[in-house]
Amino acid sequence: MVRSLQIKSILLITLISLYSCQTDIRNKAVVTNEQPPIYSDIDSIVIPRNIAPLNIMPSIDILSDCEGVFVEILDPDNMRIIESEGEKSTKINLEEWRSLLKKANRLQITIYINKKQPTQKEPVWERYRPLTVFVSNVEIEPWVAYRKIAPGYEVYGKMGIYQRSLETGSEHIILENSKTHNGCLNCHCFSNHSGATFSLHLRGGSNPGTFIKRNGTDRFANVPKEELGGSFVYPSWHCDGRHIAYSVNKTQQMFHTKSHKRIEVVDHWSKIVVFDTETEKYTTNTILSSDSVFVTFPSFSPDGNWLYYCKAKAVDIASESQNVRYALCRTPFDAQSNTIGSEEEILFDAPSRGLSATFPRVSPDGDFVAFCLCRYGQFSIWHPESDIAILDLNKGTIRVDNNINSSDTESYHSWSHDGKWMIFSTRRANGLFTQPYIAHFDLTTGSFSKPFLMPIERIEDYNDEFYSYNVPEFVSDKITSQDICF
Amino acid sequence: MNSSLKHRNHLLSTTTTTLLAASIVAYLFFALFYWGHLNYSEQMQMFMYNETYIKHLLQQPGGLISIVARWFTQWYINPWIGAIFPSTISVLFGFLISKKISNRNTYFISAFLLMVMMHFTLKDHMMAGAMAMLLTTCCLFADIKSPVWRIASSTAISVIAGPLAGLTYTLSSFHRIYELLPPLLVFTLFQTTVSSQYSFIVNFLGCEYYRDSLELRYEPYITGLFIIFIGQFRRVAAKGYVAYVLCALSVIAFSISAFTSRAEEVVLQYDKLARQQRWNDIIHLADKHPLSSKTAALYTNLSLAQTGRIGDKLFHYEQFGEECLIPRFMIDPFTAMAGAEVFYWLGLVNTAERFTFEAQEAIPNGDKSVRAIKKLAQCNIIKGDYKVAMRYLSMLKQTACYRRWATQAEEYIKNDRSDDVAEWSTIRKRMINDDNYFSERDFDKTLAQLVVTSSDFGISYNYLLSLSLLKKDLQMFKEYYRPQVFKDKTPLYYKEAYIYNMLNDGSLHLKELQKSDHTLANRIQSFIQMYQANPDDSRLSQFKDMFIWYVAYK
Repeated sequence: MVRSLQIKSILLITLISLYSCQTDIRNKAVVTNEQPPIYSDIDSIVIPRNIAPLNIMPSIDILSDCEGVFVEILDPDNMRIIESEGEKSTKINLEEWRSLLKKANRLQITIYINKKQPTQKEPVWERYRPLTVFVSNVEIEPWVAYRKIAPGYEVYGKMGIYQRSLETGSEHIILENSKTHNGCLNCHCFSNHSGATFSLHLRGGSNPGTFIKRNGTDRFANVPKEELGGSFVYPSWHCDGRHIAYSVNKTQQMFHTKSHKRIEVVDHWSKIVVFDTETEKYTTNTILSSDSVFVTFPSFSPDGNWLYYCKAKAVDIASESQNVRYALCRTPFDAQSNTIGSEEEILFDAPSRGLSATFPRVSPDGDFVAFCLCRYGQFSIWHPESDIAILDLNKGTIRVDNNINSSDTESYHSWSHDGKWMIFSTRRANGLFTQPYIAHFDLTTGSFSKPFLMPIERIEDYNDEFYSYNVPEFVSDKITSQDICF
Repeated sequence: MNSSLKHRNHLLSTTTTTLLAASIVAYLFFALFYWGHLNYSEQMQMFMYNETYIKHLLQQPGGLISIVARWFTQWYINPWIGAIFPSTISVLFGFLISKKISNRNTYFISAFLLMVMMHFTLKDHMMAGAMAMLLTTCCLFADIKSPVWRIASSTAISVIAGPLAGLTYTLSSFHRIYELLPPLLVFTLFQTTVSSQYSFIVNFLGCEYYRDSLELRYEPYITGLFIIFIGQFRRVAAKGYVAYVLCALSVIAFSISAFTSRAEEVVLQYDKLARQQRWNDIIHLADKHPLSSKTAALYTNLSLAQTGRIGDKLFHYEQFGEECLIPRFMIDPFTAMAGAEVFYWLGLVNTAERFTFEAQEAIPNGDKSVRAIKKLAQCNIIKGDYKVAMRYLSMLKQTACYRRWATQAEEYIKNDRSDDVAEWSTIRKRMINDDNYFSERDFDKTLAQLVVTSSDFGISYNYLLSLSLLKKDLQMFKEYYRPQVFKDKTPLYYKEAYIYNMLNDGSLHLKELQKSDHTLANRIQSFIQMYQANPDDSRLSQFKDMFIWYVAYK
């Protein structure tokens, strides 16, 4: 009895001291009306109700001067509050966060940073202008799959395909190249966001080939490389989970001697084929494969009736690499008869405006096409000017939404199953390391809300790790390394 | 009684003396003769004091020992401190083995082990292998009698130092066959859970013991077999002739190895000196050891250029073609990093950044390199890409030995004072103005562009002319050579190439030359006469330091 009382007293004292510590921060803090200097802006963003906690870290330029960060998150409508404190970042309790988000429509986030001052010996807590975060009732896919690779040139060391829970922020490995004798892993692609049907390329290493998981079986596609002139590259699954459109590209990398651009990736030729995973035969036609044009970035419409792609007039790359510009096109596709249409529709003649369109992705309702726009070429990923544009297929209008674009590269993008969220890669943090951002999409207006950095358990990893997040794709279920057998 | 005590005291004093002597020898060996290797190991990793880094290492089998080993390795930055660790490990190891056998002859056996352990710290070995084997030997030395404790120890070793170490311990100490199970179980557990991203073979063969997990090294297995032999056949091992055989083997094995790795050591020393911008020391090293590799020549030529002596000294040293000036890219961390140094000092910062990045990515175990991260930060500071630079600096700030440098660099950026750092402002001035695609084939054009940019006819101009000489391309030399640049101090080899060129096209007669440069003219004349009479004349070797000789024989 006495022992139990002692324990309770200790617990009570601990809680009181913790609370008083935080009260102390509130009382001590110098109030400013400035925007908090944090890593990745969260003011006025829209988040899904099932998202993982948005932990806070001071921005890189002041990180070394910070000795503490404290955040209070208030649901002003229900008068509930949660708090978190850390030395360099917050670690918001997942259960408390979930419980808060259950009822909240908006959050008021107040950030305190304990910052060293040039004139004072001791750091000073500063309280910044409270930020508002809007909570959407529209839930997001529980998982995102992406590749992590150092943002480099030709040589690659460690890389892997990983999956992160958007609901908890935790990450696990799908496949790392340590398992394939340091080969390259790329172009992971899912059919209808399903973790049970996907494909993946393995280059070099111990198991090279195009890996396909479908109907519970794992195998490597029988790619007629010699006949095609190369391997499969950019993929897109048809909604029937049987056909995959692939581009075949003869690619070369070139390196800038002086420019903030580092790399240019060019195609000497490219074409598109539709691969039938059951018969292991491929189909193409002169629209998708011709010496006079470069055709790449296939993307099936969600209903499977159209194949979207990007097309440019073939040029001599050695002398005209900066004059190649791609238009956004589509052609009908009939999965039943495995037939590609004979007519082509140019949806956006980007070259006529001195631009190049790449990476088209059709929204699940089939009304919008998101794609990248850059000044020239096909590898917008290394073009700082690359932005995500939206083509409204009903109105025929193009919109480059300032809400999601930045002064740096926006590149790969992927729609959620209902088209209400988009995840995309951007180099906005520093111009080199790609990070995944998520934005809410309003299907009625065709516009995006302000995006937010994908929440992860330890936000410092965005700064500490040496990797870029490539090809973020929403996935509806969990995939583990045991799901890939070869 | 007294005699026994006397004997024990004698043994103890012999042990102490031997141990002390071995410690000093091992320490001096690393600090004085193998500091290039220590530097290499330190530069090829980046020990970060952060949770994610530690967690990642712990996910490997033997991750714990790997963390400890990497922690020690970071101090190799200073060879006098760094040498303490490998020498202590080596000596401890030998001591434990000899005590285990309890026979004076076994000091020879321990010498064998000492040599092997030294190898653990060389080139692509990581200290983790040596530490894993030391831990195994410690447990063997403890001579655990209880099978339960033996199993517990074996399990602990497997977790801490990897299944290979666990298995070694078990095989050296087991009495019953079931004692083999723990390391296998631990390994299976690791393989199916946290380490499932590694292939079976990589995991089981000690991927944490050496930098290239795909290229197996023999030292861990030899050491493991030796420990097993000592553990199971102590009495045989204690016999004099066994000790002598092993001792002889160790001397032979180590001598061969030391001989081959000595050349490697010299090249690694060039690398360290270049990193520290000790150009005169590099030239001094080149004077001491004839250049035996392209990398050594690359660093020597860079040093000659940095000190303004390349035009006078280029052919004083062995040259192996144009790659001794302009490196070709190779997927190898060491040579790619050497290339990065050259491009960096030439002012081709984008190319230096690429080579640095590739060098880091070429590290076989996927480790990041402090050297590369620092260079990447510098390249981005010079280019004005401060946000990227800050990211790299922030990584360096999480290390023990580079924190101070990174903090200072960050201050320069924040206060916009990066031009105050002479190195950065010098390279900024040398940087190329126009953007092109880098081409190894047309590199002379890039150099010519650099000359135009810098307009001071400094390092890039000397590289351009020297490149034409190494390529034996007199047309190229003629195209770019401007004698007025050097006023009355034209470097020797440019003068020689100029004369040789004019002699070739008949526009200059030797007699005319005698008036201007008597010595050079005589040497050229003598060479030509001798060469025309008999190209195989051994006396021609006296002209080895001439461009004309290089043209004729290389």
